[in-house]
Amino acid sequence: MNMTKWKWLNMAVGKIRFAPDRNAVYRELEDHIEDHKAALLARTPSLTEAEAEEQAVAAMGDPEPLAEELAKLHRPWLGYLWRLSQVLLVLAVLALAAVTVLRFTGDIGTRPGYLWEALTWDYSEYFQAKEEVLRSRAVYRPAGRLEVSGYTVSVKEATLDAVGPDDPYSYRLLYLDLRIRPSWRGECMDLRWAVSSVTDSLGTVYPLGTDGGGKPWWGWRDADSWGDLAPLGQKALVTLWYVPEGVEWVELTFGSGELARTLRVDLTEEVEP
Amino acid sequence: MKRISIRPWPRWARVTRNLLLSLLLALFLWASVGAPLPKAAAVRRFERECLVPYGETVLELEEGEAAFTPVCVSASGEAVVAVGPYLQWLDRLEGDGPTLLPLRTTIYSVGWGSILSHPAYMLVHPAAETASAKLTVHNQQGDFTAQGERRGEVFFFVMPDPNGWSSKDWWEPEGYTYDLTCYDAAGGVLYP
Amino acid sequence: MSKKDAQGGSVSMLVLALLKSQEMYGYQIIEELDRRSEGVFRLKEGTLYPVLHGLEKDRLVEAREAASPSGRPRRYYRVTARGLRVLEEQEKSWETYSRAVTAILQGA
Repeated sequence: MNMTKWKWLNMAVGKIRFAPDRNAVYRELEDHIEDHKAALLARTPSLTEAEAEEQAVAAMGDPEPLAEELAKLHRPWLGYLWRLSQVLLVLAVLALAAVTVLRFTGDIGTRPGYLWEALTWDYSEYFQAKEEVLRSRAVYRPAGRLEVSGYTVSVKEATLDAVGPDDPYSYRLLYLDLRIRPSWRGECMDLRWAVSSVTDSLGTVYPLGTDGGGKPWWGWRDADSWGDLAPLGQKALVTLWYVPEGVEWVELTFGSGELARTLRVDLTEEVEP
Repeated sequence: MKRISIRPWPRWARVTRNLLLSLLLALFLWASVGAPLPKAAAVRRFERECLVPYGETVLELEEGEAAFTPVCVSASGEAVVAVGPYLQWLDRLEGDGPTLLPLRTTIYSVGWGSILSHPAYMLVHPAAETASAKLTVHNQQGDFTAQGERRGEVFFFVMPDPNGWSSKDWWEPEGYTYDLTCYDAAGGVLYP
Repeated sequence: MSKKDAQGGSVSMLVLALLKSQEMYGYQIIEELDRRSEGVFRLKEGTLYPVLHGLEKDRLVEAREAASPSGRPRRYYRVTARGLRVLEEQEKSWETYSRAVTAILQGA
């Protein structure tokens, strides 16, 4: 059977389904035929190229059973899986690039600028003392931490400011620098919802938010208002407004029902600011 | 196992490496868009963050019902939480009895060729024998009445469109008062 | 082990043994087999490749692409540590077999 090299090769690799593998084996078999052809030409100079090629191809044997053997060895599934894994990786990298760009324009997620702000947040800029006359300041470092439902809450520092122009018009604010470690799932408390009540040693009840009127209330702000940084934990500022004189401690109650836990912030031991 | 050096990795190793990298990147992407979760899981997550015990789903509003954002409402004995793609809120309950709560999202419907927007309320933990309920809300805009629609464990009241409204009149406790009447199966008044 | 494997089994042992001494490419293996066996083993050349690729798949040999003198990149095969161990076992069982045959042929 006089077969051209090209025809023999295509028959031999024809059953290999995954294209890169098929091409690799084609090249290897072609190289073999060429090597044999070159050897034949070197041994018998009277041979023409065409005759040498014919002999080399004939020496390769029957391509059909060979095609079956090769197909069984070079199964396509790993090849297809490899292609798939490459496609997935490329898509993931493209998606990452897109999201990174959108983050910088602020369309998605937390802008990197926010991340920086959150990490370098200095809550003292929210102190009323910036806008009014500061009459006195007391700083406390209350010990005490609270573990509740996988979160850890502690107060790093408490600042009690008396501000206001004049005695009947002065009032006191208590600033609590709260640190919250997230749960193992990377979720962080939403203080607005997690705190169920705020009271003090005199029995004052501080509701969340105010409608004006000079009555005690509590508010909060955090550095990470978009929630993305939850896995890194939270820094939050809890502010109690119109704190009466003679308060020895305040209590923050987190959660309700059987999950309720109270954190007491002791205000008896002052420290140097 | 030797090598890793300059030779290209064997194919199976490259496949594993690619898949692992893709997974890692996908995880990072998911986290950077706020780690969205499906409805039920999102409600559970919010309950964890509020330190409220897990409740049962009492109301689910699909897309097109509630301001085009699906909302899932879950109630336990302690609190009622609601989570949607752009909103979440929590109401802590005082006591065990039936409680009326505003649904802090607008219900939309189409009527007379325009979009109507309705405030809505939920009666959670109704008495077991309650078969129907009627709610009348009084606020600055007037008086509005609606029949309760039983959806699972709550009665759902969709008020008529007040033709322009502010959340203060409907969602702030100081903005409105209400009369709620509950009836049993026979039509007898259970409450008040 | 199927019939096919048994037949290919002795060929793969010979190929492994060849590659033990040096790294070789396809056509070179055919020539070396012919030369060292003084013409007794002249494989139908196509049938070498299923054997080679099978050995590679079983990690008994490994291949690398290198430039050949003619400029075309060529696949060179060489035996791995695992391949050496397998070859040792195969040599041992071959020795046992051939001693048994010789013993019977020479009459006992």
